[in-house]
Amino acid sequence: MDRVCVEKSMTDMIDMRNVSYRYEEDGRDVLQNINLTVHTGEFVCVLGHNGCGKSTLAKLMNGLFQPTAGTVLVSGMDTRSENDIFRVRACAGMVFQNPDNQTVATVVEEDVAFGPENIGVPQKELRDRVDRALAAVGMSAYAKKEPHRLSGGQKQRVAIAGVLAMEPKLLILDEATAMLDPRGREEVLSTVKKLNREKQITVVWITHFMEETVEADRLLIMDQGRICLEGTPRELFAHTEDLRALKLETPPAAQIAQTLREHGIDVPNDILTPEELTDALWAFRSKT
Amino acid sequence: MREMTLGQYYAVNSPVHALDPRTKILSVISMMALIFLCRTFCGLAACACFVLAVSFAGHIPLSKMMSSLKAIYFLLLFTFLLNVFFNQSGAVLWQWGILNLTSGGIKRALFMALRLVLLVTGAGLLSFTTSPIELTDGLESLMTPLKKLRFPAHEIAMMMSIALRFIPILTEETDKIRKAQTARGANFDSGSLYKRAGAVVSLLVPLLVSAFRRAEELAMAMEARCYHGGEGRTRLKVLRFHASDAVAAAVVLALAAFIAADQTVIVSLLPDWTG
Repeated sequence: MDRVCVEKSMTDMIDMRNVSYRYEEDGRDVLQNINLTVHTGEFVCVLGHNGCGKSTLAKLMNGLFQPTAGTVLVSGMDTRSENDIFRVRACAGMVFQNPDNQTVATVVEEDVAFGPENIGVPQKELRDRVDRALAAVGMSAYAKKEPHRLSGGQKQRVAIAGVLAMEPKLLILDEATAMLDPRGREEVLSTVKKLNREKQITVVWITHFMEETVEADRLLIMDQGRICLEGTPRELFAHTEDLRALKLETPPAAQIAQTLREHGIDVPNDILTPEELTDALWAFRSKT
Repeated sequence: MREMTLGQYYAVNSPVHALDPRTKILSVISMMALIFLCRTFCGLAACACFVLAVSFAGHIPLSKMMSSLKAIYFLLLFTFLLNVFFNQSGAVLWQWGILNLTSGGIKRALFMALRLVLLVTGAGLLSFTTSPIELTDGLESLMTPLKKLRFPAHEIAMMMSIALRFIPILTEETDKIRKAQTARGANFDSGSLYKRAGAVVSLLVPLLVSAFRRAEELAMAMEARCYHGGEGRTRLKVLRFHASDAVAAAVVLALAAFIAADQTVIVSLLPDWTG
Protein backbone atom coordinates (compact mmCIF):
# COMPACT_ATOMS: atom_id res chain seq x y z
CA MET A 1 0.00 0.00 0.00
CA ASP A 2 1.42 3.34 -0.92
CA ARG A 3 1.51 6.26 1.41
CA VAL A 4 -0.39 8.45 -1.05
CA CYS A 5 -3.80 7.22 0.05
CA VAL A 6 -3.11 8.40 3.59
CA GLU A 7 -2.25 11.90 2.53
CA LYS A 8 -5.15 12.44 0.16
CA SER A 9 -7.82 12.52 2.85
CA MET A 10 -7.00 13.34 6.41
CA THR A 11 -10.44 13.27 8.05
CA ASP A 12 -10.46 11.05 11.09
CA MET A 13 -12.31 7.76 10.97
CA ILE A 14 -11.55 6.85 14.55
CA ASP A 15 -10.53 9.24 17.25
CA MET A 16 -9.73 7.80 20.67
CA ARG A 17 -8.86 10.25 23.40
CA ASN A 18 -7.39 9.19 26.74
CA VAL A 19 -9.26 5.91 26.56
CA SER A 20 -9.00 3.45 29.42
CA TYR A 21 -10.95 0.28 29.87
CA ARG A 22 -11.43 -2.25 32.63
CA TYR A 23 -13.77 -5.23 32.72
CA GLU A 24 -14.66 -4.99 36.39
CA GLU A 25 -15.10 -1.88 38.41
CA ASP A 26 -12.20 -2.64 40.75
CA GLY A 27 -10.16 -4.64 38.23
CA ARG A 28 -6.97 -3.55 36.54
CA ASP A 29 -7.00 -1.41 33.42
CA VAL A 30 -6.86 -3.63 30.33
CA LEU A 31 -6.25 -0.51 28.27
CA GLN A 32 -4.46 2.47 29.69
CA ASN A 33 -4.78 5.97 28.36
CA ILE A 34 -4.91 5.18 24.67
CA ASN A 35 -4.72 8.06 22.23
CA LEU A 36 -5.23 6.94 18.69
CA THR A 37 -6.36 8.46 15.44
CA VAL A 38 -7.15 6.43 12.35
CA HIS A 39 -7.46 8.47 9.18
CA THR A 40 -9.95 7.78 6.42
CA GLY A 41 -8.58 5.39 3.82
CA GLU A 42 -5.72 4.26 6.01
CA PHE A 43 -4.61 0.64 6.51
CA VAL A 44 -3.55 0.40 10.14
CA CYS A 45 -2.17 -2.74 11.70
CA VAL A 46 -2.25 -3.41 15.42
CA LEU A 47 0.28 -5.95 16.53
CA GLY A 48 0.83 -7.55 19.89
CA HIS A 49 0.98 -10.90 21.60
CA ASN A 50 -1.92 -12.48 23.49
CA GLY A 51 -3.44 -10.49 26.30
CA CYS A 52 -1.99 -7.13 25.28
CA GLY A 53 -5.45 -5.61 24.92
CA LYS A 54 -5.76 -5.52 21.15
CA SER A 55 -9.13 -7.33 21.04
CA THR A 56 -10.49 -4.99 23.68
CA LEU A 57 -9.29 -2.08 21.58
CA ALA A 58 -11.24 -3.49 18.60
CA LYS A 59 -14.44 -3.87 20.63
CA LEU A 60 -14.18 -0.26 21.78
CA MET A 61 -14.05 0.86 18.15
CA ASN A 62 -17.62 -0.12 17.35
CA GLY A 63 -19.34 0.38 20.65
CA LEU A 64 -19.45 -3.27 21.76
CA PHE A 65 -17.57 -2.03 24.82
CA GLN A 66 -17.85 1.44 26.30
CA PRO A 67 -14.67 3.10 27.54
CA THR A 68 -14.26 3.34 31.33
CA ALA A 69 -12.63 6.73 30.80
CA GLY A 70 -12.06 8.92 27.77
CA THR A 71 -14.05 9.08 24.53
CA VAL A 72 -14.19 7.09 21.32
CA LEU A 73 -15.43 8.87 18.21
CA VAL A 74 -16.22 6.85 15.09
CA SER A 75 -16.63 9.06 12.04
CA GLY A 76 -17.46 11.84 14.46
CA MET A 77 -20.10 9.85 16.40
CA ASP A 78 -19.58 9.11 20.08
CA THR A 79 -19.91 5.37 20.74
CA ARG A 80 -21.61 6.21 24.04
CA SER A 81 -24.56 7.84 22.31
CA GLU A 82 -27.50 5.44 22.35
CA ASN A 83 -29.11 7.10 19.35
CA ASP A 84 -26.07 6.56 17.19
CA ILE A 85 -25.03 3.09 18.31
CA PHE A 86 -26.44 1.23 15.29
CA ARG A 87 -25.03 3.87 12.95
CA VAL A 88 -21.65 3.41 14.65
CA ARG A 89 -21.80 -0.35 14.26
CA ALA A 90 -22.90 -0.17 10.63
CA CYS A 91 -20.11 2.31 9.95
CA ALA A 92 -17.41 0.30 11.74
CA GLY A 93 -17.92 -3.29 10.64
CA MET A 94 -16.21 -5.96 12.64
CA VAL A 95 -14.89 -9.39 11.65
CA PHE A 96 -13.97 -11.80 14.43
CA GLN A 97 -11.51 -14.61 14.81
CA ASN A 98 -13.65 -17.74 14.66
CA PRO A 99 -15.53 -17.96 11.37
CA ASP A 100 -18.02 -20.51 12.74
CA ASN A 101 -19.11 -18.35 15.64
CA GLN A 102 -20.08 -15.31 13.61
CA THR A 103 -22.25 -16.93 10.98
CA VAL A 104 -25.91 -16.68 11.85
CA ALA A 105 -27.80 -18.15 8.91
CA THR A 106 -27.73 -21.55 7.26
CA VAL A 107 -27.30 -20.14 3.74
CA VAL A 108 -24.41 -17.88 2.69
CA GLU A 109 -26.51 -15.13 1.12
CA GLU A 110 -28.91 -15.01 4.06
CA ASP A 111 -25.99 -14.62 6.40
CA VAL A 112 -24.65 -11.73 4.34
CA ALA A 113 -28.11 -10.17 4.50
CA PHE A 114 -28.26 -10.43 8.31
CA GLY A 115 -26.57 -7.07 9.02
CA PRO A 116 -28.54 -4.95 6.54
CA GLU A 117 -31.76 -6.72 7.62
CA ASN A 118 -31.08 -5.57 11.16
CA ILE A 119 -30.70 -1.95 10.15
CA GLY A 120 -33.91 -2.14 8.16
CA VAL A 121 -32.62 -1.84 4.60
CA PRO A 122 -35.65 -2.14 2.27
CA GLN A 123 -36.08 -5.55 0.65
CA LYS A 124 -35.48 -4.34 -2.91
CA GLU A 125 -32.13 -2.83 -1.98
CA LEU A 126 -31.14 -5.84 0.14
CA ARG A 127 -30.79 -8.16 -2.84
CA ASP A 128 -28.54 -5.67 -4.55
CA ARG A 129 -26.36 -5.11 -1.50
CA VAL A 130 -25.92 -8.84 -0.87
CA ASP A 131 -24.93 -9.48 -4.49
CA ARG A 132 -22.45 -6.60 -4.50
CA ALA A 133 -20.91 -7.62 -1.16
CA LEU A 134 -20.46 -11.22 -2.30
CA ALA A 135 -18.94 -10.05 -5.58
CA ALA A 136 -16.52 -7.77 -3.73
CA VAL A 137 -15.04 -10.72 -1.82
CA GLY A 138 -15.21 -13.07 -4.81
CA MET A 139 -17.81 -15.38 -3.28
CA SER A 140 -20.74 -14.85 -5.67
CA ALA A 141 -20.61 -18.48 -6.79
CA TYR A 142 -21.26 -19.64 -3.23
CA ALA A 143 -24.38 -17.54 -2.54
CA LYS A 144 -26.68 -20.53 -2.06
CA LYS A 145 -24.19 -22.80 -0.29
CA GLU A 146 -24.25 -23.80 3.36
CA PRO A 147 -21.56 -21.98 5.36
CA HIS A 148 -20.31 -25.09 7.14
CA ARG A 149 -19.26 -26.63 3.83
CA LEU A 150 -16.85 -23.77 3.01
CA SER A 151 -13.15 -23.59 3.82
CA GLY A 152 -11.94 -21.34 6.64
CA GLY A 153 -10.73 -18.65 4.25
CA GLN A 154 -14.03 -18.72 2.38
CA LYS A 155 -16.01 -18.48 5.63
CA GLN A 156 -14.03 -15.40 6.64
CA ARG A 157 -14.62 -13.84 3.23
CA VAL A 158 -18.35 -14.44 3.74
CA ALA A 159 -18.05 -12.77 7.14
CA ILE A 160 -16.37 -9.79 5.45
CA ALA A 161 -19.18 -9.70 2.88
CA GLY A 162 -21.69 -9.71 5.75
CA VAL A 163 -20.04 -6.57 7.07
CA LEU A 164 -19.67 -4.96 3.63
CA ALA A 165 -23.40 -5.34 3.02
CA MET A 166 -23.94 -2.76 5.77
CA GLU A 167 -21.81 -0.39 3.65
CA PRO A 168 -19.28 0.46 6.33
CA LYS A 169 -16.55 3.07 6.03
CA LEU A 170 -14.30 1.12 8.31
CA LEU A 171 -13.43 -2.54 8.59
CA ILE A 172 -12.04 -3.85 11.87
CA LEU A 173 -10.57 -7.34 11.66
CA ASP A 174 -9.85 -8.82 15.05
CA GLU A 175 -7.34 -11.61 14.37
CA ALA A 176 -9.46 -12.67 11.43
CA THR A 177 -6.70 -14.93 10.12
CA ALA A 178 -5.62 -16.54 13.39
CA MET A 179 -7.56 -19.77 12.83
CA LEU A 180 -6.81 -20.13 9.11
CA ASP A 181 -4.22 -22.11 7.20
CA PRO A 182 -1.60 -20.12 5.23
CA ARG A 183 -3.72 -20.21 2.07
CA GLY A 184 -6.81 -18.96 3.87
CA ARG A 185 -4.77 -16.19 5.50
CA GLU A 186 -3.49 -15.05 2.15
CA GLU A 187 -7.04 -15.13 0.69
CA VAL A 188 -8.43 -12.96 3.47
CA LEU A 189 -5.52 -10.52 3.60
CA SER A 190 -5.51 -9.92 -0.16
CA THR A 191 -9.32 -9.46 -0.13
CA VAL A 192 -9.04 -6.82 2.57
CA LYS A 193 -6.14 -5.07 0.85
CA LYS A 194 -8.17 -4.91 -2.33
CA LEU A 195 -11.17 -3.41 -0.50
CA ASN A 196 -8.88 -0.81 1.05
CA ARG A 197 -7.32 0.07 -2.27
CA GLU A 198 -10.36 -0.03 -4.55
CA LYS A 199 -13.24 0.97 -2.29
CA GLN A 200 -11.24 3.27 0.01
CA ILE A 201 -12.48 1.38 3.07
CA THR A 202 -10.41 2.20 6.12
CA VAL A 203 -8.93 -0.93 7.67
CA VAL A 204 -7.85 -1.71 11.20
CA TRP A 205 -6.09 -5.07 11.00
CA ILE A 206 -5.38 -6.69 14.32
CA THR A 207 -3.01 -9.62 14.36
CA HIS A 208 -0.12 -11.34 16.03
CA PHE A 209 1.47 -12.39 12.74
CA MET A 210 4.11 -9.82 11.97
CA GLU A 211 4.45 -10.75 8.31
CA GLU A 212 0.85 -9.64 7.71
CA THR A 213 1.70 -6.10 8.76
CA VAL A 214 4.48 -5.52 6.24
CA GLU A 215 2.39 -3.56 3.75
CA ALA A 216 0.40 -1.48 6.25
CA ASP A 217 0.41 2.31 6.10
CA ARG A 218 0.97 2.44 9.81
CA LEU A 219 1.79 -0.09 12.46
CA LEU A 220 0.91 0.11 16.14
CA ILE A 221 2.56 -2.25 18.55
CA MET A 222 0.75 -2.88 21.80
CA ASP A 223 1.99 -4.25 25.05
CA GLN A 224 0.22 -4.46 28.42
CA GLY A 225 -2.66 -2.23 27.44
CA ARG A 226 -0.58 0.53 25.88
CA ILE A 227 0.51 1.46 22.42
CA CYS A 228 4.25 1.26 22.88
CA LEU A 229 5.57 1.70 19.33
CA GLU A 230 4.04 3.47 16.36
CA GLY A 231 5.30 4.14 12.85
CA THR A 232 5.55 2.67 9.38
CA PRO A 233 6.44 -1.04 9.32
CA ARG A 234 9.78 -0.12 7.78
CA GLU A 235 10.65 2.23 10.63
CA LEU A 236 9.59 -0.22 13.30
CA PHE A 237 11.15 -3.36 11.92
CA ALA A 238 14.55 -1.72 11.99
CA HIS A 239 14.24 -1.74 15.82
CA THR A 240 14.94 -5.44 16.07
CA GLU A 241 16.06 -5.21 19.68
CA ASP A 242 12.96 -3.34 20.88
CA LEU A 243 10.76 -5.84 19.12
CA ARG A 244 12.58 -8.75 20.64
CA ALA A 245 12.09 -7.20 24.08
CA LEU A 246 8.34 -7.26 23.35
CA LYS A 247 8.61 -10.94 22.38
CA LEU A 248 7.79 -10.13 18.77
CA GLU A 249 9.63 -11.63 15.87
CA THR A 250 10.45 -9.61 12.78
CA PRO A 251 9.41 -11.12 9.43
CA PRO A 252 11.72 -13.91 8.15
CA ALA A 253 13.20 -11.77 5.37
CA ALA A 254 14.13 -9.05 7.88
CA GLN A 255 15.62 -11.66 10.20
CA ILE A 256 17.78 -13.09 7.42
CA ALA A 257 18.93 -9.61 6.41
CA GLN A 258 19.82 -8.88 10.04
CA THR A 259 21.84 -12.11 10.32
CA LEU A 260 23.55 -11.39 7.01
CA ARG A 261 24.56 -7.95 8.26
CA GLU A 262 25.92 -9.47 11.45
CA HIS A 263 28.10 -11.69 9.25
CA GLY A 264 29.47 -8.73 7.37
CA ILE A 265 27.31 -8.94 4.25
CA ASP A 266 26.27 -5.42 3.45
CA VAL A 267 22.49 -5.37 2.82
CA PRO A 268 20.14 -2.48 3.76
CA ASN A 269 18.65 -2.62 7.30
CA ASP A 270 15.03 -2.02 6.28
CA ILE A 271 14.34 -5.17 4.29
CA LEU A 272 10.85 -6.64 4.87
CA THR A 273 9.85 -8.93 2.01
CA PRO A 274 11.57 -11.85 0.28
CA GLU A 275 11.55 -9.82 -2.96
CA GLU A 276 13.47 -6.98 -1.37
CA LEU A 277 15.93 -9.46 0.06
CA THR A 278 16.46 -11.04 -3.35
CA ASP A 279 17.07 -7.64 -4.92
CA ALA A 280 19.51 -6.70 -2.18
CA LEU A 281 21.40 -9.95 -2.60
CA TRP A 282 21.62 -9.44 -6.38
CA ALA A 283 22.84 -5.90 -5.79
CA PHE A 284 25.40 -7.23 -3.31
CA ARG A 285 26.57 -9.87 -5.77
CA SER A 286 26.98 -7.44 -8.65
CA LYS A 287 29.03 -5.17 -6.36
CA THR A 288 31.54 -7.87 -5.48
CA MET B 1 -16.17 -32.99 6.11
CA ARG B 2 -18.81 -35.54 6.89
CA GLU B 3 -21.91 -35.27 4.77
CA MET B 4 -24.99 -34.96 6.86
CA THR B 5 -28.55 -34.06 6.19
CA LEU B 6 -30.68 -32.13 8.58
CA GLY B 7 -34.01 -33.67 9.41
CA GLN B 8 -35.49 -35.84 6.69
CA TYR B 9 -35.43 -33.38 3.84
CA TYR B 10 -35.43 -35.19 0.51
CA ALA B 11 -33.86 -32.73 -1.92
CA VAL B 12 -35.45 -32.94 -5.35
CA ASN B 13 -37.26 -30.44 -7.51
CA SER B 14 -40.97 -31.01 -7.50
CA PRO B 15 -44.17 -28.97 -7.47
CA VAL B 16 -44.68 -29.95 -3.84
CA HIS B 17 -41.19 -28.81 -2.86
CA ALA B 18 -41.85 -25.50 -4.60
CA LEU B 19 -44.97 -24.73 -2.57
CA ASP B 20 -44.88 -21.99 0.03
CA PRO B 21 -43.91 -23.57 3.39
CA ARG B 22 -46.92 -21.92 5.02
CA THR B 23 -49.23 -23.72 2.60
CA LYS B 24 -47.60 -27.00 3.45
CA ILE B 25 -47.69 -26.46 7.21
CA LEU B 26 -51.36 -25.47 7.16
CA SER B 27 -52.25 -28.31 4.78
CA VAL B 28 -50.59 -30.89 6.99
CA ILE B 29 -52.32 -29.53 10.08
CA SER B 30 -55.69 -29.65 8.30
CA MET B 31 -55.01 -33.11 6.97
CA MET B 32 -54.19 -34.40 10.44
CA ALA B 33 -57.36 -32.88 11.81
CA LEU B 34 -59.32 -34.55 9.00
CA ILE B 35 -57.72 -37.90 9.74
CA PHE B 36 -58.79 -37.55 13.37
CA LEU B 37 -62.29 -36.39 12.52
CA CYS B 38 -62.89 -38.99 9.87
CA ARG B 39 -64.82 -42.02 11.16
CA THR B 40 -65.21 -44.22 8.11
CA PHE B 41 -62.91 -46.42 6.06
CA CYS B 42 -64.11 -44.56 3.01
CA GLY B 43 -62.87 -41.26 4.46
CA LEU B 44 -59.56 -42.80 5.48
CA ALA B 45 -59.18 -44.20 1.97
CA ALA B 46 -59.61 -40.67 0.64
CA CYS B 47 -56.90 -39.45 3.02
CA ALA B 48 -54.66 -42.33 1.92
CA CYS B 49 -55.21 -41.37 -1.72
CA PHE B 50 -54.29 -37.80 -0.82
CA VAL B 51 -51.07 -38.85 0.94
CA LEU B 52 -50.10 -41.13 -1.96
CA ALA B 53 -50.90 -38.48 -4.55
CA VAL B 54 -48.83 -35.85 -2.73
CA SER B 55 -45.88 -38.21 -2.30
CA PHE B 56 -46.11 -39.02 -6.02
CA ALA B 57 -46.26 -35.33 -6.98
CA GLY B 58 -43.34 -34.67 -4.62
CA HIS B 59 -41.23 -37.43 -6.19
CA ILE B 60 -40.86 -39.13 -2.81
CA PRO B 61 -40.18 -42.83 -3.34
CA LEU B 62 -42.51 -45.23 -1.56
CA SER B 63 -39.60 -46.81 0.29
CA LYS B 64 -38.77 -43.41 1.77
CA MET B 65 -42.38 -43.01 2.90
CA MET B 66 -42.30 -46.44 4.51
CA SER B 67 -39.05 -45.66 6.30
CA SER B 68 -40.83 -42.97 8.29
CA LEU B 69 -42.98 -45.76 9.77
CA LYS B 70 -39.94 -47.49 11.26
CA ALA B 71 -40.18 -45.48 14.44
CA ILE B 72 -43.74 -46.59 15.11
CA TYR B 73 -43.68 -50.32 14.29
CA PHE B 74 -43.96 -51.21 17.94
CA LEU B 75 -46.64 -48.62 18.62
CA LEU B 76 -48.61 -49.90 15.62
CA LEU B 77 -48.48 -53.47 16.82
CA PHE B 78 -49.38 -52.45 20.36
CA THR B 79 -52.43 -50.39 19.37
CA PHE B 80 -53.53 -53.09 16.98
CA LEU B 81 -53.44 -55.82 19.62
CA LEU B 82 -55.03 -53.58 22.22
CA ASN B 83 -57.93 -52.74 19.92
CA VAL B 84 -58.37 -56.27 18.68
CA PHE B 85 -58.79 -57.71 22.14
CA PHE B 86 -60.48 -54.88 23.97
CA ASN B 87 -63.17 -54.12 21.46
CA GLN B 88 -65.80 -56.80 21.84
CA SER B 89 -68.44 -55.72 19.33
CA GLY B 90 -69.72 -57.83 16.44
CA ALA B 91 -69.61 -61.57 15.92
CA VAL B 92 -67.12 -63.63 17.89
CA LEU B 93 -64.76 -65.29 15.42
CA TRP B 94 -62.31 -66.99 17.71
CA GLN B 95 -61.93 -67.53 21.40
CA TRP B 96 -59.07 -68.62 23.61
CA GLY B 97 -59.32 -68.27 27.35
CA ILE B 98 -60.33 -64.71 28.09
CA LEU B 99 -59.27 -63.51 24.64
CA ASN B 100 -62.08 -62.94 22.18
CA LEU B 101 -61.50 -62.09 18.56
CA THR B 102 -64.52 -60.26 17.19
CA SER B 103 -65.31 -58.85 13.76
CA GLY B 104 -65.90 -55.41 15.32
CA GLY B 105 -62.55 -55.65 17.10
CA ILE B 106 -60.69 -56.41 13.89
CA LYS B 107 -62.37 -53.57 12.06
CA ARG B 108 -61.63 -51.17 14.87
CA ALA B 109 -58.00 -52.29 15.09
CA LEU B 110 -57.48 -51.98 11.36
CA PHE B 111 -59.08 -48.54 11.38
CA MET B 112 -56.86 -47.29 14.21
CA ALA B 113 -53.71 -48.74 12.63
CA LEU B 114 -54.50 -47.16 9.28
CA ARG B 115 -55.18 -43.85 10.98
CA LEU B 116 -51.80 -44.00 12.70
CA VAL B 117 -49.99 -44.89 9.49
CA LEU B 118 -51.62 -41.99 7.68
CA LEU B 119 -50.83 -39.55 10.46
CA VAL B 120 -47.16 -40.44 10.44
CA THR B 121 -46.68 -40.62 6.68
CA GLY B 122 -48.69 -37.42 6.25
CA ALA B 123 -46.50 -35.57 8.71
CA GLY B 124 -43.49 -37.13 6.99
CA LEU B 125 -44.55 -35.49 3.73
CA LEU B 126 -43.95 -32.09 5.29
CA SER B 127 -40.44 -32.88 6.46
CA PHE B 128 -39.54 -34.67 3.20
CA THR B 129 -40.53 -31.75 1.00
CA THR B 130 -39.66 -28.74 3.18
CA SER B 131 -36.13 -27.86 4.26
CA PRO B 132 -35.67 -26.92 7.92
CA ILE B 133 -34.94 -23.31 6.94
CA GLU B 134 -38.17 -23.04 4.97
CA LEU B 135 -40.03 -24.59 7.88
CA THR B 136 -38.58 -22.00 10.24
CA ASP B 137 -39.46 -19.15 7.88
CA GLY B 138 -42.96 -20.54 7.44
CA LEU B 139 -43.51 -20.92 11.17
CA GLU B 140 -42.26 -17.41 11.87
CA SER B 141 -44.61 -16.00 9.29
CA LEU B 142 -47.56 -18.01 10.62
CA MET B 143 -46.80 -17.03 14.21
CA THR B 144 -46.49 -13.32 13.42
CA PRO B 145 -50.13 -12.50 14.27
CA LEU B 146 -49.45 -13.91 17.74
CA LYS B 147 -46.94 -11.10 18.31
CA LYS B 148 -49.89 -8.94 19.31
CA LEU B 149 -50.38 -11.28 22.25
CA ARG B 150 -46.71 -10.72 23.16
CA PHE B 151 -45.82 -14.13 21.81
CA PRO B 152 -42.07 -14.03 20.93
CA ALA B 153 -42.51 -15.25 17.33
CA HIS B 154 -39.34 -13.69 15.92
CA GLU B 155 -37.20 -14.85 18.84
CA ILE B 156 -38.43 -18.44 18.57
CA ALA B 157 -37.78 -18.51 14.82
CA MET B 158 -34.31 -17.00 15.34
CA MET B 159 -33.49 -19.59 18.00
CA MET B 160 -34.65 -22.39 15.73
CA SER B 161 -32.56 -21.20 12.81
CA ILE B 162 -29.46 -20.72 14.98
CA ALA B 163 -29.96 -24.20 16.43
CA LEU B 164 -30.14 -25.57 12.88
CA ARG B 165 -27.03 -23.64 11.96
CA PHE B 166 -25.06 -25.13 14.85
CA ILE B 167 -26.13 -28.77 14.52
CA PRO B 168 -23.40 -29.63 11.98
CA ILE B 169 -20.79 -27.65 13.92
CA LEU B 170 -21.57 -29.31 17.22
CA THR B 171 -21.75 -32.75 15.59
CA GLU B 172 -18.30 -32.25 14.19
CA GLU B 173 -17.07 -31.02 17.54
CA THR B 174 -18.54 -34.04 19.34
CA ASP B 175 -16.58 -36.19 16.93
CA LYS B 176 -13.36 -34.32 17.67
CA ILE B 177 -13.84 -34.51 21.44
CA ARG B 178 -14.69 -38.21 21.21
CA LYS B 179 -11.43 -38.84 19.37
CA ALA B 180 -9.45 -36.66 21.77
CA GLN B 181 -10.91 -38.47 24.79
CA THR B 182 -10.38 -41.87 23.17
CA ALA B 183 -6.74 -40.91 22.67
CA ARG B 184 -6.62 -40.15 26.38
CA GLY B 185 -7.97 -43.57 27.25
CA ALA B 186 -11.72 -43.01 27.43
CA ASN B 187 -13.79 -45.97 26.34
CA PHE B 188 -17.20 -45.24 24.84
CA ASP B 189 -17.99 -48.62 23.30
CA SER B 190 -17.54 -51.27 25.96
CA GLY B 191 -17.84 -51.82 29.67
CA SER B 192 -20.89 -51.76 31.90
CA LEU B 193 -23.68 -49.29 31.36
CA TYR B 194 -22.49 -47.37 34.41
CA LYS B 195 -18.96 -47.08 33.02
CA ARG B 196 -20.19 -46.01 29.63
CA ALA B 197 -22.39 -43.34 31.16
CA GLY B 198 -19.27 -42.10 32.96
CA ALA B 199 -17.39 -41.93 29.68
CA VAL B 200 -20.19 -39.92 28.10
CA VAL B 201 -19.74 -37.29 30.81
CA SER B 202 -16.20 -36.76 29.55
CA LEU B 203 -17.78 -36.03 26.16
CA LEU B 204 -20.65 -33.85 27.32
CA VAL B 205 -18.80 -31.53 29.66
CA PRO B 206 -16.29 -30.19 27.11
CA LEU B 207 -19.06 -30.01 24.52
CA LEU B 208 -21.25 -27.96 26.83
CA VAL B 209 -18.39 -25.64 27.79
CA SER B 210 -17.57 -25.04 24.14
CA ALA B 211 -21.24 -24.52 23.26
CA PHE B 212 -21.45 -21.77 25.89
CA ARG B 213 -18.28 -20.15 24.57
CA ARG B 214 -19.67 -20.27 21.05
CA ALA B 215 -22.97 -18.79 22.19
CA GLU B 216 -21.15 -15.91 23.82
CA GLU B 217 -19.06 -15.18 20.74
CA LEU B 218 -22.07 -15.47 18.46
CA ALA B 219 -24.03 -13.04 20.62
CA MET B 220 -21.15 -10.58 20.37
CA ALA B 221 -20.93 -11.01 16.59
CA MET B 222 -24.70 -10.55 16.21
CA GLU B 223 -24.59 -7.42 18.30
CA ALA B 224 -21.69 -6.10 16.20
CA ARG B 225 -23.94 -6.56 13.16
CA CYS B 226 -26.62 -4.35 14.70
CA TYR B 227 -28.96 -7.13 15.83
CA HIS B 228 -31.56 -5.79 18.22
CA GLY B 229 -34.48 -8.18 18.02
CA GLY B 230 -37.18 -8.40 15.40
CA GLU B 231 -38.23 -4.78 15.52
CA GLY B 232 -37.63 -2.81 12.34
CA ARG B 233 -36.06 -5.82 10.65
CA THR B 234 -36.45 -6.38 6.94
CA ARG B 235 -36.00 -9.73 5.23
CA LEU B 236 -34.00 -10.74 2.17
CA LYS B 237 -36.48 -13.48 1.37
CA VAL B 238 -40.13 -12.68 1.72
CA LEU B 239 -42.55 -15.59 1.46
CA ARG B 240 -45.09 -15.17 -1.31
CA PHE B 241 -48.08 -17.30 -2.25
CA HIS B 242 -48.26 -18.40 -5.88
CA ALA B 243 -50.97 -19.92 -8.05
CA SER B 244 -49.76 -23.39 -7.10
CA ASP B 245 -50.50 -22.63 -3.45
CA ALA B 246 -54.11 -21.89 -4.37
CA VAL B 247 -54.27 -25.24 -6.19
CA ALA B 248 -52.88 -27.01 -3.13
CA ALA B 249 -55.38 -25.26 -0.88
CA ALA B 250 -58.20 -26.26 -3.24
CA VAL B 251 -57.12 -29.91 -3.10
CA VAL B 252 -57.07 -29.88 0.70
CA LEU B 253 -60.49 -28.21 0.77
CA ALA B 254 -61.84 -30.83 -1.62
CA LEU B 255 -60.56 -33.54 0.70
CA ALA B 256 -62.23 -31.82 3.65
CA ALA B 257 -65.47 -31.49 1.71
CA PHE B 258 -65.40 -35.14 0.74
CA ILE B 259 -64.82 -36.25 4.32
CA ALA B 260 -67.55 -33.97 5.63
CA ALA B 261 -70.00 -35.34 3.05
CA ASP B 262 -68.87 -38.84 3.77
CA GLN B 263 -69.49 -38.37 7.50
CA THR B 264 -73.00 -37.03 7.09
CA VAL B 265 -74.24 -39.13 4.15
CA ILE B 266 -72.62 -42.48 4.55
CA VAL B 267 -72.75 -42.57 8.32
CA SER B 268 -76.49 -41.93 8.21
CA LEU B 269 -76.99 -44.77 5.70
CA LEU B 270 -74.80 -47.42 7.23
CA PRO B 271 -74.45 -48.70 10.77
CA ASP B 272 -71.43 -47.23 12.51
CA TRP B 273 -68.48 -49.51 11.67
CA THR B 274 -66.09 -48.09 14.10
CA GLY B 275 -68.08 -48.54 17.24
